[in-house]
Amino acid sequence: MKYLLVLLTVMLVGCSTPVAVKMPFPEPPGKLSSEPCPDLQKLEKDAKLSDVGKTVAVNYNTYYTCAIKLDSWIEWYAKQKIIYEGVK
Amino acid sequence: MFLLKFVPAWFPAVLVLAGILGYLLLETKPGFLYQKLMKMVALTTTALGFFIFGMVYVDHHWRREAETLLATATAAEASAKVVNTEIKEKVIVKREYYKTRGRDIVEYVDREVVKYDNRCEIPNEFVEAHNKAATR
Repeated sequence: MKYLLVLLTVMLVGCSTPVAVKMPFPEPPGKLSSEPCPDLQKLEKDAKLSDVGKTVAVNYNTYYTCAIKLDSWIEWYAKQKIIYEGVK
Repeated sequence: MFLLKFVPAWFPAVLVLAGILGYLLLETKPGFLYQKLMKMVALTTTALGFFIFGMVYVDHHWRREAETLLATATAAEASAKVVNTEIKEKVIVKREYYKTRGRDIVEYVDREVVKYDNRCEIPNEFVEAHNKAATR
């Protein structure tokens, strides 16, 4: 009888059922952020003071536009990490 | 488990009950043909009933767990999309700001700095240094 009880207990364990739940990898933060940063502008050999001013202004602008992209990825990572940790 | 879909909820209970009743019947009323074999069949039926009962329970348990997890994953996916939209909008606004500011500065240079073009000569060394710094 005691063997029977042990057998019945073992039988109660049954089988496990694998159920796959997948969470898709989050999308990137837009097409604009995924574009690579352009090269900086260079000066011509016979450049004038206004050319220097314009080129420097354009290059600073290029830097800040690129910084926006980097900042957006940093923000994206931080927020997606919080969401991912909420799921675990 | 796929086969569990076809097992009705009452089936394991009936198996257990039938097995126990059969065993008790064989114990209390001896004299049946193949008594020992019948007892074994009754015990096996009981054990099988318990086994299927356990399987159904575990299956239900995991399905409930999976549903909860799926709901959480769906909510997280929606949150990720909201976050992406927010970031995208922020990028567009900031980009537009720098675009306008850059255009204003170039306009200013074209209007004001151009007046000093003849007064200041840019040496080639300066141009070379600048271009070296601007090269990736």
